Amino acid sequence: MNNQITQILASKVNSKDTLDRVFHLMYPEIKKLANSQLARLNKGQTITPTVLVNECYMKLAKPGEMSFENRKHFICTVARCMRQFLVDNVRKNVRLKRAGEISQEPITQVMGDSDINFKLLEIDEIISKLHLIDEEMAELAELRFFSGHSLQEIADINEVSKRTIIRKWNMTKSFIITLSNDMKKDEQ
Amino acid sequence: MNSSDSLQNWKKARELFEQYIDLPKDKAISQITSDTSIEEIVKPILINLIQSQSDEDTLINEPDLVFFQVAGEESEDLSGKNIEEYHLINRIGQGGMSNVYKAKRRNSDIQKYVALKLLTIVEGDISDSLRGMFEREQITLSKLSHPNIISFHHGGISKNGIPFLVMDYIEDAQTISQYVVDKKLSEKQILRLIIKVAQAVDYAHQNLITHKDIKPNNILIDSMGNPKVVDFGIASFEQLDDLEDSAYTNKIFTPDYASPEQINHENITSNTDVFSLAITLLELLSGNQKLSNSDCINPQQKFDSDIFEKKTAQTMTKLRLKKDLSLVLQKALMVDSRKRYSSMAMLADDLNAYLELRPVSVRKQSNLYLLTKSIIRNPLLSFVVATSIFSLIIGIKVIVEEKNKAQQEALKANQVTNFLIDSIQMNDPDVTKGKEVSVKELLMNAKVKILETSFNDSELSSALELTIGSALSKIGQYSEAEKLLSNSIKSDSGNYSARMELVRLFLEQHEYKKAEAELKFLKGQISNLQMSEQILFSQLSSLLSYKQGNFEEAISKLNTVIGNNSATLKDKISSRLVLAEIYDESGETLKAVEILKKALEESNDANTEISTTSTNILYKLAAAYGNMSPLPEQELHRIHNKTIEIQKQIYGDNHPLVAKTYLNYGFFLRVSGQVEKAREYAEMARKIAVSNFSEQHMLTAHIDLLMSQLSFLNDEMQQSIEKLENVVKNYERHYGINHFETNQVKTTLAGYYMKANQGSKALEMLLPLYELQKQQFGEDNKATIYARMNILKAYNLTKDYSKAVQEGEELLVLSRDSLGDEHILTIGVKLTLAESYLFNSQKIQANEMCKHLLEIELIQNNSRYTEKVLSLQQQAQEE
Repeated sequence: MNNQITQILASKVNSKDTLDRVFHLMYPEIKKLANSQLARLNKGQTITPTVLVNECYMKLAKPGEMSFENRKHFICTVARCMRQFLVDNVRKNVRLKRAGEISQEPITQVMGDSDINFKLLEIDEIISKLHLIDEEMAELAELRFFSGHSLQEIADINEVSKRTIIRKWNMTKSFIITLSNDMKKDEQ
Repeated sequence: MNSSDSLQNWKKARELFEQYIDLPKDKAISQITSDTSIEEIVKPILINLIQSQSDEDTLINEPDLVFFQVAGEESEDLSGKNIEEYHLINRIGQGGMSNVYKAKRRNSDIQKYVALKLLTIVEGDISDSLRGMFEREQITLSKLSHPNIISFHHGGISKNGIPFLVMDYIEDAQTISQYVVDKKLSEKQILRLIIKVAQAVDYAHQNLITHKDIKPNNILIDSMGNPKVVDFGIASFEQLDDLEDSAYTNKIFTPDYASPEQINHENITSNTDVFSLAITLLELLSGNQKLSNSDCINPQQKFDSDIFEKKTAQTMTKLRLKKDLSLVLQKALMVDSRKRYSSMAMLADDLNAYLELRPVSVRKQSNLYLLTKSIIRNPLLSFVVATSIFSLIIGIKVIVEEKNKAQQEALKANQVTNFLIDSIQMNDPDVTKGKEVSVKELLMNAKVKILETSFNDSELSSALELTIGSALSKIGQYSEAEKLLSNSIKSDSGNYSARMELVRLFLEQHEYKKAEAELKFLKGQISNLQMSEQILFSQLSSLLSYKQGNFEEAISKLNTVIGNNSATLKDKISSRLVLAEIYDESGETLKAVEILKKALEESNDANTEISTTSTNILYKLAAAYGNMSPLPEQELHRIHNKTIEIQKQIYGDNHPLVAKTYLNYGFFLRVSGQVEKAREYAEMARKIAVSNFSEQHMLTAHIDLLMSQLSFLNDEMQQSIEKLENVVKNYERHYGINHFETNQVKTTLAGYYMKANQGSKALEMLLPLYELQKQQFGEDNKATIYARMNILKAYNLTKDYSKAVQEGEELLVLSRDSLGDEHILTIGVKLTLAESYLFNSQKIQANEMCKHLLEIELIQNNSRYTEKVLSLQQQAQEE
């Protein structure tokens, strides 16, 4: 893995600043990885963020090389990168479609499913808002949507019990739904 | 939410939310509404939050509800272009990583088509290590040569850096799914195809290539209906941009046929392919209904075994597969790869077994299952055995019907066991060996059904398994017996009788190590054994000691038993019999006879009537006398005649045991030179044997052995050879091709061939025997050397003189080193070598050897040998 990233993560510095830097360093790597995976898919094949992210984990780092806190940062950062990547992709497509150009980007659209229909950009916005309201909830949401970790794993990363995380997640869910409804109202 | 006020409100709402989250919704809402400390603006937010709580599992709970669909160009169709020396005609297949084209060699008139697979290049160049890997893969793949694997011609990297592979092109190929539907194949036909595929993949595994991507699309069927597996190990090509170890398949696949370990990115072994093939098979059987494994992947991208197992169980029930087949499939589809079939070959075997109505390995080997299968295959009836088992079953049935008394009945089963053992041929497996147990009659009797359903009591079932196991062992069905006995022990580890039967069985089959192991276990339990069991234990361990060469130990153990005052008469007699057996085998026949006589006395004292035990002893006595030298002829005649008389009384004129005694008498008569009388008895014995059993029965074979010897004595070479050839066939069938009894007769036959100057036939027999011996016992073992010496003689007969000399010289060195110069075998080798030298015109060496031989004491003391050597010497000196 990129030396700079390792160094930063190894420094155990917890400032937002540092984490931002990691993000910026990691993002191009993740973009490249994700793209190459997408290139291997057939037209019409579907993929989820979790699958994409898994590949990134495997490529980027070996678990033993990181300290515990850094692992958490690492995972959160990867999730953030993935979010960014997907959002960028969708935005580009939207832009291109509007411009009448045929999209060259690998990802076309986001398909929602059954009772709650979320779109990626919407989720992105919600999470941004959550960041303003409660950092922890935002982080949790990001991990849930973009990192593919289970609640148990997230509990482990945060060194809390699963019950605590579940509780937190329930709260987060409510916020997501409420914010979503709110946003819909605004649009009307 | 636009203003910062708004943000503040949300924040406030968030803080308050925690307080209300645990309350029931209504209560929470009413509290909030009435709470004046909460700002009015914040209230609606809070209420919304509370209302949005949902008890149900919405999808948002497991958020991978964001799916992305890949748009993007279809890979370019390069039809019409050229790649190296090939011209691409048209595209016949399209995949994520590659396209397949029908192609043909440029500048060639030959209309031979190939399939060219072009890998679509991924970002970046191919590094050197990848190039190396690619090249290595090609070499391995080109080694695969199998009718059911598509032939791989070669691979390469085009000037543009695109990797490609060239393979056979199959005209009018269909995938196996298409073919199955198109030809409306039956279950049997599908299985036959899959078995071929399994064998092909197994071949690849032997060559250390795993397929890794077995699925219906990778199994093509050509125009003749032959399956061809494609894309071997190509799966590893898909990792061209993978810099890591290729043990992990790093591609994003639609994992419909992938094994759990592939999906979990764990290590892949060759039975990964077993799994994928099984899924494929299941799909084909269900009419191509996809059983996507991708449904079994949970959001953590791990394989969910519960979902998978449920799904497959459902599918199999729907298909109404026969039990054996579903068990086979289940084993092949085990999520834990250690529990799966460990190789394709084993899966193929079981599928074959299923098709041929043989027992499959997976099925729990219950008595009835085995018996059922053997009946369906080959019902032959052994009258005596059937009646005994029949009565056993009836006895047990009575027990079983009174279900309450299960414990007591287990004890009763013991009694029935003893009854059975006593009444089956008096412990003489020869009389019934080789006959299939047919319980056709029994099964036709509904009583057996009751047996099967009552096997809940493990002690009872253990006792029954013991009984039937012992019975099977008595009639020579050793492997079946072993299974049952082991089962019996499994169901009831305190079943010492079963263990002892097992020991007896192992001793019978010369598997001494196994016998030792069991005895060791029993020794540890000795305090738990009852008196009679302890005695049996002593008898068995002394037999083992003897077989392992510990004569003294064996004898002393047995004598301890006999001298033990608390031993029952029966125990003493049986111990004497074992003792006698040991003495007899080790050549001290006189002693054996003495002991037997004593046993007979004791038995007669105890019983006024003629008992089976006495007859048994008489019978052994007769056999023992036959081994004495000089032969106590008068005694022998008397004993044999008495035995025959008694046996006829007890069993009737036409009983196999009577035949056996005739046979023994015949052997004795032969030895004492009364060839004609011997023949008479042999004929009588044979009549009985054939009428009770058949030409192929073991007893018949033994009689034929005697008759062959008689013909040999009368110089009727052709007849004796014919008869002995028959015997060999029978022995091969009953004992097995590599059993030591079989080998004994084969050696004898080889000797006959040599006597009849049929050297090449002799060699045919001897060479494989020698190899076997060499393997089992080593080159420098006596028996091996003896076998090799016979081979030398045979070479002399076939006039292969130079070979004889060469081998002979080698053997001489070996024999000298291992056995010594004075050993009779070494001398034998020298003698044969001398002959070989002479025939090979090496007169000087022949002469030398003869001179040397004449100085050996053994030769000097034996006039026949001296004569022979002198005559050889003379021939060598002529000229």
